[in-house]
Amino acid sequence: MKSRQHHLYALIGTLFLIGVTIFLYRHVALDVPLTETETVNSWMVEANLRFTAERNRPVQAHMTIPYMPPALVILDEYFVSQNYGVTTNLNADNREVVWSLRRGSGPQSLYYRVILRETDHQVGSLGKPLLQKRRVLPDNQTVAVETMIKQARESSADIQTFTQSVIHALDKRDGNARLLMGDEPGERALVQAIMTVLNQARIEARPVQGIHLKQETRAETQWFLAVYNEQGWIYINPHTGAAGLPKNFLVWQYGFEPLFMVSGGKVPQLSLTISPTPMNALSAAKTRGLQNESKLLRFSLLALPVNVQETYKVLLMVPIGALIILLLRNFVGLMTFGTFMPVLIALAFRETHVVWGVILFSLIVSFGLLVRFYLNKLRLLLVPRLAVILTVVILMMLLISVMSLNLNLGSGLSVALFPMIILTMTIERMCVTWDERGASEAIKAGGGSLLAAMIAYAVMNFEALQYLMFAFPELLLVLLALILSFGEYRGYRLSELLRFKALSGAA
Amino acid sequence: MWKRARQLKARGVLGINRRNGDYVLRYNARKHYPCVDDKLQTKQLAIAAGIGVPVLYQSITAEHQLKSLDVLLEPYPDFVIKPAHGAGGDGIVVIASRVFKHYRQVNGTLLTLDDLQYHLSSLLSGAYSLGGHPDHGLIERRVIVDPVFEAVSYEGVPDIRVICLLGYPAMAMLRLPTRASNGKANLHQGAIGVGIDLATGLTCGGVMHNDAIDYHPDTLNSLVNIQVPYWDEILNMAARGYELTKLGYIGVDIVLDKLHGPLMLELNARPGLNIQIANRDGLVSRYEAIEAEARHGAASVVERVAFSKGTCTKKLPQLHKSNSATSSFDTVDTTFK
Repeated sequence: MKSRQHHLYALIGTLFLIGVTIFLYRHVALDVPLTETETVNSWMVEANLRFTAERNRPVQAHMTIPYMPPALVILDEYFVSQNYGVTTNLNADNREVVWSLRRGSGPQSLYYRVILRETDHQVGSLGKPLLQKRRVLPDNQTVAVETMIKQARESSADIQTFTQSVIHALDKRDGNARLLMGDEPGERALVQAIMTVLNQARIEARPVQGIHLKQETRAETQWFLAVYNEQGWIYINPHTGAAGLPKNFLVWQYGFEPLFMVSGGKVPQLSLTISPTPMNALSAAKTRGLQNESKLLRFSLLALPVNVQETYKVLLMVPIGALIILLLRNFVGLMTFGTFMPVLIALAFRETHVVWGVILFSLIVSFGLLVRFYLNKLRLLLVPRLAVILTVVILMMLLISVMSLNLNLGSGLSVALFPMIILTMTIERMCVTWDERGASEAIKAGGGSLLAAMIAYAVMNFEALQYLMFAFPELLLVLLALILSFGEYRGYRLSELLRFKALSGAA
Repeated sequence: MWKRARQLKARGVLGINRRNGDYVLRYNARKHYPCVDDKLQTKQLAIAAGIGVPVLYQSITAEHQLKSLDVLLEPYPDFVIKPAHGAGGDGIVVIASRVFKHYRQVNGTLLTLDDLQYHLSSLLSGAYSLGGHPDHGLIERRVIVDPVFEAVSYEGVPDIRVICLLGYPAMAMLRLPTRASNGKANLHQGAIGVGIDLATGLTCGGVMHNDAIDYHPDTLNSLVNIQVPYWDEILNMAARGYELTKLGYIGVDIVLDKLHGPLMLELNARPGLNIQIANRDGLVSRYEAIEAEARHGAASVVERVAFSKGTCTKKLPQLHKSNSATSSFDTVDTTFK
């Protein structure tokens, strides 16, 4: 006896400790949020590459996609491309996706979708650069560049201010500037000019193409400049010379190359659509886990397909319902039909809502009882009798659904979600109890079942709890410990205080 | 609320949780349950051990037997139909005589052969068995009420419930059917539970619906100080239930037949707790005394009964002269259904 109890308490303690430890670790160290309402700003960018495939020629489409962009974190990405083969490659500073198809024809549409979230993490994918050679420039440009470098050196202190001076100089649009930028000063020409000057000054720099994250259907790429100042990369606006990346700027590609390239297709076109998508903190934390390679965070239900997740959201509440039943039966002494039947009814209440659920349940069970009493007269055997009741229950459901549709009562339709086998068994047991122990006993147990179902429903539908169980499935271990310790309760039930009233008076 | 819980605890009243956890689960191995759940098995075991039981006339195990039911029942003017796996007296039909080809129940209701066939058929398909499993029916000799109890019972047959722990009788009560209980000895339906002093076999006041009562509501006869006949035999019979079933914690139901004396009716592996109300005493202290005694090693039936007679009596100061308790009837705890 003693050893059994020690064993049990050790088990309870171990389960509790393990559960709480994992819970705390995941909450504190991995930042899994405690409530669902914590959301983070996140964006969805969709790149749509369209082109017309040439008949019977292999198609290959290359497109640059973001890779470890500074100040943003990729939470998720999808490639949508019917029957294309998809590969992603890293080359130099960029990442590209290659869609390929042996034979294609007609208009093609390929999608890349990425979900991003802001972060404080500033470091991008750019590593320490290799020393680049100074390019040889045409004579007329050499002079212009040297003049510019000389001027800039005089009015600057370090690489950043030097770059800014060069930008200001080019911004003046004087003879030297025009010589470098050509006749039609566009963004690209400007960046190229800056790059030329920086290259001659032996300063490492990269042109940057990216987009501003704001609600937009046809986003244009913009240019930026990344300059290496011997410690790290700093970003400089090529127009204003302002240092630092603006908030919500997504770096798409480093370099002058076009963002996409299609072989075997004509008239390629890329459109970028940006939209904000508020995302709950849990999904964000999950992605962080994937990046951290944390096993404990990976053991998350969020890794499951969405429809399975929904199922588990419900399933994880069932043990809670069982705990409620345990409390109601062993501590309160409530009478119910079947041990866990109220939990199943409570699950049905989730769909029907509780008031309707109670009405529908009472309706079906009372009508079923009438039928059952009538069947008593027919003297059917047990199994055919149950089959008849089951059929009648389904007929009832059908009737209620059709009637509520005609009366425009949407909730009536959800009656179909009641577990009909459970209803049938309830009716049968209630009837037998009615016959043998009287109506009051039967109604007491029926009402008890309904009450238990309502209480279980109230607890199981408590959203914060639902979320908590879903985000921290390890709490099931704590629940297990709780159930085990409640199972050790040997004291009186509330109903027994009433039952043994006669024994409690003066001894 | 807490006050009442404390009072009950002070009196050693046993609650369902504790009964299940500390007694049923500990002393009753699941594998031995069939021999009490199936009344046919109980009966056979009892016969083998030489314990008196109501004579089995027929056992109905298949639907086809019902076709010739009238032939099967032909030799018996009165009989009782019981489900082998029934609980709480459900599904029992008592036929006292025959009137115009009808079967007359004790309360005067006439049943046709057809009624009986239907009853047996639902019985066979499990309408009265725990969990709805297919069942079989027993047709046995009807017990004739001992004249001692005729004055204090209405229609049905009173029975005596003795709770035994490890073969030691711990508490006993007499269950008396009333008009309110439809002649059934079921306390929930209004039967009277009368406590019996283990030492003497004398009854003291009874309980009906949790209220103390000293006379039978239908016959108005006193319930106090009735000497239960064959008391030692009854206790011996109850105590032997332990060897019979290997179950350490049982309720033994015994009836007194006018001709055959005490007969064992059935055993219950989860005896109810209302016996405490009937006896106005808690079970816990008696169980603890028995458990302490049982640690000294095996004892014979006679030794055990002797120990119980000396120990399992009301210890509290009494208003009554008799130091035993009243009894009440008890059904199987619904938790297990």
